[in-house]
Amino acid sequence: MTRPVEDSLQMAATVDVELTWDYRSHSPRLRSLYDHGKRAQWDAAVDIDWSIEVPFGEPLPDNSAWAEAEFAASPLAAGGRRVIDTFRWEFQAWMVSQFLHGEQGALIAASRLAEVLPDIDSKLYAAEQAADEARHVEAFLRYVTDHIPVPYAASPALAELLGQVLRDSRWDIVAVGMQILIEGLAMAAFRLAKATFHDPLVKQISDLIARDEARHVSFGVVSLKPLVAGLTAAERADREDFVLEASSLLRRRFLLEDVWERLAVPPTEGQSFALTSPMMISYRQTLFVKIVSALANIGMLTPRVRAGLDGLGLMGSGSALAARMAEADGAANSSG
Amino acid sequence: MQMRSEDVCTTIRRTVREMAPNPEGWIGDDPRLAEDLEYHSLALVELAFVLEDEFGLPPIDEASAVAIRTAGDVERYVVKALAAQNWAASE
Repeated sequence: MTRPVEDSLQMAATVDVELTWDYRSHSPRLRSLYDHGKRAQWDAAVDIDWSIEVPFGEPLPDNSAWAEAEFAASPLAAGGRRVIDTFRWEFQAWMVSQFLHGEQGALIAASRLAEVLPDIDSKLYAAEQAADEARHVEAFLRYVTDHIPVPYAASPALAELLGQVLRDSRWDIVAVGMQILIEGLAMAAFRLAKATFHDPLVKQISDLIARDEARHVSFGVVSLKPLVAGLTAAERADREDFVLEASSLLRRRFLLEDVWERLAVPPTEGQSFALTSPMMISYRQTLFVKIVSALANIGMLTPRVRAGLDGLGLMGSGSALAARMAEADGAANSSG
Repeated sequence: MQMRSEDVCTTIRRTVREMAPNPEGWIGDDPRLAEDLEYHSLALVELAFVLEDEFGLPPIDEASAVAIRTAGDVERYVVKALAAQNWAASE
């Protein structure tokens, strides 16, 4: 059971830890990801220009005409431009705070994978990813500490998802939850930083971290693909349940309940706007493109999962196309 | 599996059209992404994700992204990135 306490999230987890004495490499692809990860290490203390000023809360340049029209129809409109700018800064503060908490979750999950995955290639890679996640935590922690006046706690939906992933004793659930869903969403969110964030420092941090996340999703795909192919119908249905439940939690995060609360916007009005605004729908669908593509690549974008994601409003045109292309590639590879 | 170059160009143009918020705006050979097809910032990122996944390309850099304004620009960018990738692989 997950037990949130004042400043931590605790849970009991039983896992089968494995050491291997077979040090031969059986997966050149995983070894290549590990080697690439070593070469791509950067240092949050020296490779980020921490002297860049962050004018948190200052007036922002005009949005696109599309976004302006969306905000004009939002519950923020009554407060005028000042309140809309406050929302834009608070959204950034919320996102970066959630990144920080999510990266810590990824650090714990990668460490778990190093313990439980059976082969040496996977253990080396997972340990290298844990070091990546430590650098990500360091970078976001410094940004949050120095520049966010009032950071956000982990949103209830994120805490619930981390609990579900880390309580589970099956390594593939940890890998699907963290490497495909949380990392896939993070990879897209970092790429969206240019459109949604407002200072060059956080864009620089996001850019550096995004390079690592692509490797992390690749690890998930390489590790999970053979396992998914061998699942029984009952096991597959169980993983489908997990993917849909986790996707629902990820979507719930982006109804922004904690941001509306801070801005004193009635929660039902704020969440209704987040749920129905074409801009917010498009944002969530863009966040899910990488997830859908990775699910298709590992063979988990089953008709049931696709219908479920569609029902959650998470399958945009990009996801539908990415899925079709991934499936066509898979069919061509298996027939070739 | 390697695509022929005409297949690559067809796939790129079909993707740009299918993902456009206003596909009806595709008039002529080289429609503008923002003005004709009504691509906004989120839709452009989504398009980049799909093309990167389809062709196995690295994330597009800021300078290249800023210079892309039409469907033809997207096609030229992807073709050039693929050529660079093939050249690097043959070294």
